[in-house]
Amino acid sequence: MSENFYKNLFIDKSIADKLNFNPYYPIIESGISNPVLIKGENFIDLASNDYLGLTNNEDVKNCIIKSLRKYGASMCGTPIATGYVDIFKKAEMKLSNFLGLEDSIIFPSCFQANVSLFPSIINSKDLIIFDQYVHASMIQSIRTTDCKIKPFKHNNLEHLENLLKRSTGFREVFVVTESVFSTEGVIAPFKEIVDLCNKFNAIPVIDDSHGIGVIGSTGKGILEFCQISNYSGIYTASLGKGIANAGGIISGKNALIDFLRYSCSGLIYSTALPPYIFSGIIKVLEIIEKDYDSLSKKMWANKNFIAEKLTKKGFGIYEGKAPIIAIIGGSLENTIWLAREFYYRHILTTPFVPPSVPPEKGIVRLIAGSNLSSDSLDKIQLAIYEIGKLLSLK
Amino acid sequence: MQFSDRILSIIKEDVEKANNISLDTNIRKDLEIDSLDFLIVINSIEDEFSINIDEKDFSEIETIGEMILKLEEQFPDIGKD
Ligand SMILES: Cc1ncc(COP(=O)(O)O)c(C=O)c1O
Repeated sequence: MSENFYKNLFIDKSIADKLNFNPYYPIIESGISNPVLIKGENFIDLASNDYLGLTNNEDVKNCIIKSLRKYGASMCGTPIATGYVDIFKKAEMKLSNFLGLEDSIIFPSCFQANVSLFPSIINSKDLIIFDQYVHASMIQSIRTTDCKIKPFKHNNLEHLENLLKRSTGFREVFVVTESVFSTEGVIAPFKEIVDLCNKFNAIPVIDDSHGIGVIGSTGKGILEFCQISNYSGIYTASLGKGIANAGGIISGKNALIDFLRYSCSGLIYSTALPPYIFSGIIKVLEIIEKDYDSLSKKMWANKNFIAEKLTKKGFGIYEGKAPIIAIIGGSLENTIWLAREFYYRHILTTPFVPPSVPPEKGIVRLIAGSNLSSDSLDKIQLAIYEIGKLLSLK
Repeated sequence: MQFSDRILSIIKEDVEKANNISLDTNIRKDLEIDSLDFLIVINSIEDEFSINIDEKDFSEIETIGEMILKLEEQFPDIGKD
């Protein structure tokens, strides 16, 4: 046995040791509600992706319980075998309808959907052009193909157009990006990207994980946000964020989805999600269709409140057009320090450090969901005040 | 323009931190670029000189000078147009 192998599996935790704080894998003793419970104490959740605060919605939970009683814990089979329960199909149809796309398939996660996508559809004579900052799952998917791959500079349409201009002689050209870049909350210029794809006969691929249920005039995500109709590209999204459940979808043209149903290994060879999840997804979509307006107004009001307090107190923040606030942390140590100071004040945040972000570009991400109470907002305001003071002394 | 100057100007165009670069600049350490930033540079070189580079051949190189030597070794006619 090679002892070196295990010795080489080294993770540098020196900063966490130095600051006596490791922000990763907090053990949460409650569901994602406000507050969440850690070590028996109440914490305010600014870390989860429960944008609309629906994961503990009573109607959603009741639907899930009913479904659990009817179908049990699992179908113990892959979708192609025994996993394709009636509400699986119903959830697919509901999602396709919600998005205005022809058909959808649901994977156990969007990571799995993304990772499985390109190996299923790519030919070695193809070209994949992709935003350099797309999610790790897309990069992994793209990297496992044997075709030519070209990153374009983040959200840089000029660079993308230059690459497209020079992309002759390929069977198909795919252009991949993400709707909301989730570390900084910036939304991709996807309308322009689709226009470029049309001009150069390329196929757009969008990961709308942080957009679905969150952006667009009625919460339908990036296609609605950019007013793109008759989208003929490929669409993927996580159902574990705005949709407050679990799973990931690939949606698009009938021909694509039908092909993937019979050829995509990440779907065919993996146990289907448990049936109750589909009931949860369907219920959340119904709630969004009915209540998006009021839910999103609260989400935006909470986000704007926190962003305003941070700016006033002199924090450097990135504010894109998505309901995400990124506090600029800079160095690894500073970023973890900031997260620790919030944690000490019972506020849970998400610090992003390299390699998730470029070196020295650490950020602390805050997502203020719809269900923050006014009491929580008061506590957040006080924390911002206190941490701001510490920062000015640093 | 000399071949090496053309490479330096491509890197300056593509990499944010590349204002003060020379043949001795360490590509990953000094410029703090990741593998995708590096691939952007490789793609630009491919387009500029109409060649096809296998990125893996360049995974071990450290400095810009080494990269230029490797390119000249692999593509003897490069930059001679
Ligand atoms: C942009 C993006 N794509 C894909 C994923 C993966 O989704 P899932 O959690 O459903 O696997 C995430 C995050 O989790 C994400 O942020």
